[in-house]
Parts: sequence; C-alpha cells; structure tokens
Amino acid sequence: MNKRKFSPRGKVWGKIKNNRLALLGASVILVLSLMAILGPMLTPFGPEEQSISERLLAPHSKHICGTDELGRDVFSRMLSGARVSLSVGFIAVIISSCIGIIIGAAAGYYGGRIDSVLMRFVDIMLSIPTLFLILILSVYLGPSIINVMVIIGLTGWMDLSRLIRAEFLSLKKREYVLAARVCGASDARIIFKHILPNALAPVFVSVIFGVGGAILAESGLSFLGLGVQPPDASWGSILASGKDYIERAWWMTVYPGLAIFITIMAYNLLGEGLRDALDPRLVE
Amino acid sequence: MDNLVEVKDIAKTYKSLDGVFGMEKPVVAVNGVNLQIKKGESLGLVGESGCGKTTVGKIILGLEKPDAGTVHFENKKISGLSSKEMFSTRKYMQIIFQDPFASLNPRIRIGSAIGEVLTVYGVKDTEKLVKQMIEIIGLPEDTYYRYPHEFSGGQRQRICIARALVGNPKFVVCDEPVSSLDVSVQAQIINLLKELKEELHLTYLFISHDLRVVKNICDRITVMYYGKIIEEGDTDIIYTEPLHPYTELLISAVPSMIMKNGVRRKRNAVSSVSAINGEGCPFFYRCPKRIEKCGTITPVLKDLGNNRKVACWNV
Repeated sequence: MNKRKFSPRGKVWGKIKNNRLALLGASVILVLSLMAILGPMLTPFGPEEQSISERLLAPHSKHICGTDELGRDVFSRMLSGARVSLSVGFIAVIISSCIGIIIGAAAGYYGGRIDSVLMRFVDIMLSIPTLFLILILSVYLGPSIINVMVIIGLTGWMDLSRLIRAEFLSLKKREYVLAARVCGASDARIIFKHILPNALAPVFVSVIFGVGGAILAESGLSFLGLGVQPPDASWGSILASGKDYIERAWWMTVYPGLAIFITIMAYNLLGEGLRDALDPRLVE
Repeated sequence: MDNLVEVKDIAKTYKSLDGVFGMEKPVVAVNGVNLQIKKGESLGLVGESGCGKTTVGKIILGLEKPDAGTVHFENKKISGLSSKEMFSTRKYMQIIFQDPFASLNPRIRIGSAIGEVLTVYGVKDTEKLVKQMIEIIGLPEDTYYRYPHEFSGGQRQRICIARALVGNPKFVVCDEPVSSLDVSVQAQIINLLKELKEELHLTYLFISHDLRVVKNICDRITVMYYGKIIEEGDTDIIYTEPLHPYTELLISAVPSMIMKNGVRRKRNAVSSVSAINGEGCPFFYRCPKRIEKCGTITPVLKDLGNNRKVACWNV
C-alpha cells in the first residue's frame, strides 16, 4: 500500500501480529498489569485484613482463592503481591539495562584498554554464582523491596552489556557513523544519536526476558525470606508461608505458584516472538 | 597555486589476527605516501582494491591515525590533533562514501542527516540552508521530512553529497562515490559533482578503481600500488603515455567500446600476487618488464618535472 509498510518497524509489527503465542503473552502481561494497578478495586478485602474465624478456608464464592493461616484473603494478597512482583521486575530491569548499556557502550565504542578492563570485569561478574551473590548482597544490605530491586538489577546486566558491546563494535565502523565524525559530532552525540538507536533491537528482547527473570528472582528471594518482609505480600512470600500448610491448604501454594508460572511464561512467549520478529535471518 | 592539503610520508600498518594461533600478522596499508593537493584541483587516487587508497583518505580526514608522517591543511598541521583541536578545521573537510545504503543512519530524517554539520557547529537557519541544498542536488522538497529507506541508491548518493557540501567545505574526499551505482546513474552523479565543484570552488580527492570515472573528473592522477605511489601526472598524459608497467596494465584493463587501430589493446592477466618480502619493487612478481635490480632494490619516486613522477627502474 504505502511505503511505511516497508519500514523496519512496520515489518516487526507485521511479524508479531502473526505470532499468536507472542500476542497471547502480550495480552496476559497487559491483563496482569491492569490487575496490579487496579488491585484494591477488584476485591472487597484488604491484603492485610485478618479474620480469625475464617482461617484456611478452601476457595469458595466469597474468597475465590481461599484464605491463609491468619484468615487473610489469598486473592487480595496475590493482587498486592502482583504490584510488588511486577514493579520489582520492571525497576530491576531498568537498573540492569542502564548499567549494561553504559558498560557495553563504553567498551564497544572506545575499545582498547577500556574494553579489556570492562570485559574482564564482566567475566568476573559472570563467574560468581548469581544466587550466591544475591544472598550475600541482601544479607549485607538488609531485606526490603528497594534492596531487592537494586540487587537484582546489579546482578543481571552482564549479558546485555556483551550484546551492546557487540552491536557497538559493528555499528561504529558504519559509514554513517564515520560521516558524523567528519561532521565534527562529539562522542556523546555519535553514541546516543547514531549508534544507540540502531543497537536497541537486541536490547528490547533482552529486556523482555529480563523482566521475567527478575520476577522469578524476586519470588525466589522472597521465598527465602530475603525479599519482601511480612506483613507485605509478594508471590514468593505467599508461597513461602503456604508451604507449611501444603497438605491442608493447597490453595495457598498453588495459586501464587500459578501466578508466577503464567507471568514468566507470558514474558518468555513475548520475548521469543520479539526475538524472531527482530532477527533478520528469519525472513520468510 | 598553494597546496590546500599536503600529505608527508604517511604510513599505516594494520594488525591482523588471522595468523595461526592468533599470532599478529602486520598488513601494510600505506607506506610512505606523499601527496600535494592544490586549491581548486581534483586529484584522482587510483589503484586496485586493498592498495591503501581509502586509508589515505581516512588519514587525511583524521578518521585513522597514521603510524608515521603528517597531514597539513592550509599549511597547518592537523595530524595528531585531538578532536577538540581539530574542530575548527574539520568544518572545511568532508567525505562522500562508496555505499549510499550504509552511509545514512536509517533512523534519522534526511533533513537532520544533511543538517548535522550545521547543528554541530551551531549554525542558525539550518532548515533553510538544508532545503536550499536539497534543491541544488535536484531532489523534491519533501525529501527533508523523509527517511533513508524511501530512496534509491542514486538519490541517497545525492543526499550524501548534500550532507558533505551543506557546511561549505573547501576539501572533499570522494571515496568511490559512484562504484555502487549503475552506469546511467554514475554519469548523473559525476556531472553533479563536477558542477558543484565549479560552483562552490571545491577541491576533490577522488578515490576510485575505475579509470573511466577518474578520467572524466580529475585534473591529475596518482596511481597507488600496495601502499605506495608508483606514478603521478596530469590526467591526459597518464592516459596517453603511462610510464609505469602497472599504470599501463590498469589502463589496458579498462573495457572500451572503441578499438584502437582495429585491434584491442593488449591485455595482461591481472592476477593478484602480493607476496612481497621487504626489499624490491612491490610490483616485481607481476611486472612484464622487470629487470634484476627490481627484485632487490625498491625504486624511488623520481620527479620528472611537469607534475610527472614515477617509481620504476626502467624509466
């Protein structure tokens, strides 16, 4: 029809549109995000509202996901946990993307000694077992939501920085970058205006996968008691309190577990769809 | 006439890691090149792929650092300057690249791509100047708001010319500007470059492997082989009486529709042998006229007067 259809962005959207699994993932993420935002409006119970007479009730019409050992509504707690999990996912990824982009860009653009030093640093970071590092940092910094975001962000940037470095290495030799240098453009202008916008495709994919990974990491930390502290809820901490009652109250573990599973699945499906759509080698 | 650009004894060696077990293998790109480009002339730099001609262009513009030697622009030394010190001179030098598809940023509108140099140097009225330039290169007005993928190769090359010339440069390196275009478009671009040169009083360093193109636009020609200059002279003389066997080979390799005296010029096989070990003429192994001396002593570039220089023991 018109020329816009042939633009790179238009092509990517066309491919995503035809990928049903990716669309499913995107809609699940949208619904979950809406539920997290609307949270309190979707349920009559507060997440910390206790009712001793209604302890460990199986799911029924009033408490659709049952109640926990203190008589709190599991569905309400999961909604408030969704806020925690999703925002930890996003903010942790924003932190790790910033670090990854800065380190990768510096290493790729300046090369030489800066590159060697930064990449050896990445190697060192990668050779430390992530869980171990997270445990040490969270013990040192103390458990809180903010710390969880920072910790996950600080341990998840290495792959992205390698991706960005590789993109910068190839893009900085492009002729339009040389032309900008001949025009007297500063390093900052070249990096942010000419190289970075063209290096962002792999970043998107990595960010989408990263959000899923960060949510999983947060759940793990909270499950171990190093993340969100009671009475605040997160999917991981609901799971952790539910594990003691797993024989009497399956709903306390199954529902938050399912929420984690569905969320991660949705991010992975969208991430894979996006990766296929952005991969120029997979042209039909 | 004054020399606008002067290149003195520049050398550049790249390190390749292709060797066995990642051993460094030096690749000589440029080896002791001297060039003088006069104000208002266009100098053609010819030679086969890999002979170092692009590297010479990049060194002049400061895109590559030479291992040795200096570059002077308007009698001011510009090699070895930091990008800040270079900033004031940079405005007067520009480049047009070979591949118009790689030389425009796909995410930037044509208007701001052409206007980049003006923006960087803080010129007011960028939009007006850019639109004037778009008119000069013969593209429609709405080009300003469009993206590179909407244009063909020839149109993109026009845009690159506009980008190079909008800042009013004095010196433009044209690095194979028409090699990736088809022949009918080549002629248009060459004519455009010629017209603009007259109008804007430009000086060109015209890098090409295509002698037909160079003949059309250049006043003087420098022939490079394996990182060295082997012959230099006015265009007409180089074409009619090439002195160096390599120049002769290059000229006879130009496909021509017209047969001279009923017979085609004798053509030597252009095989690429670049096994050169230190001393001797770099062209030794391919030279039909080699003598014993050529294998042991590197010929020096002799000045024959009248702009003529050649590096061959037979001359």
